Amino acid sequence: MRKIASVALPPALDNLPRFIACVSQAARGQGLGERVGQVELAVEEAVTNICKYGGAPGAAEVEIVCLAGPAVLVVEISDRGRPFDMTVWPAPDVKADVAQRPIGGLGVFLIKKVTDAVEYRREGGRNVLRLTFRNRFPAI
Amino acid sequence: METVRIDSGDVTAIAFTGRLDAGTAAQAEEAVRAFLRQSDRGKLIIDLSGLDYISSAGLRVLIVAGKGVLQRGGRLALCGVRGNVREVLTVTGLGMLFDIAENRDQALGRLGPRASGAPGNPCGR
Repeated sequence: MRKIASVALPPALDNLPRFIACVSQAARGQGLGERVGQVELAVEEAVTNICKYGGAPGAAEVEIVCLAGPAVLVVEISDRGRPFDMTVWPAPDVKADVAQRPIGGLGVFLIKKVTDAVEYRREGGRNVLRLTFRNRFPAI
Repeated sequence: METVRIDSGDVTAIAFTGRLDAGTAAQAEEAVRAFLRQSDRGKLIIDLSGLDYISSAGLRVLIVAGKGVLQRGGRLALCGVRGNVREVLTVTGLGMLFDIAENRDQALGRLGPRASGAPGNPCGR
């Protein structure tokens, strides 16, 4: 895997367009044009979670690194916030009607739906979320 | 993102264009809440035909609209759902919960006849 793009910025929603621009360029460069919306969505949801719930705002940066392999784009998002492993987060009830729907809670669910793989590791005091997008239409 | 609101008779249409994401959702939510504050049993069309992208922050706005209209005895229809927006509504199951029309005209039809006394009701009842 080779590194094709990276960006490191404070965890603030104002920086969201710059995080998105980085991954969307990387996705297009890897021939994942049809999946750009999915890549942007997964990254927005992950970065938004860090901004809202990661703790210690301003104390550290969120770093995004895009890695390219054969027909695959991997996006690693890391932060120094409190440990959070979304891979073990319970799924919301997506069959509930509007009146029963909690307002919020769909972000993690969407990340899992639009990626081919989601992996988490805690490494040197950092959360590292690794999102894999293959160069094909995912089965969703 | 841009928000355009059109009031016509007893129906309000709000169109969101561009990207409805964590950065723009507050603006969209305010447009929805402004409608909810003013209307009891109101009819709302949310036109998404110009929307290129939606995230969970945007879905939250649609859920606020759906719950608010329901609580006030009103009606809500979405229209112009396409691309990423359609995909996100489908995978979250929200597409099943909303009345989704192809376009605004069809949405108007779904929301039923105009309220009595409103323009377009020849009997005025």
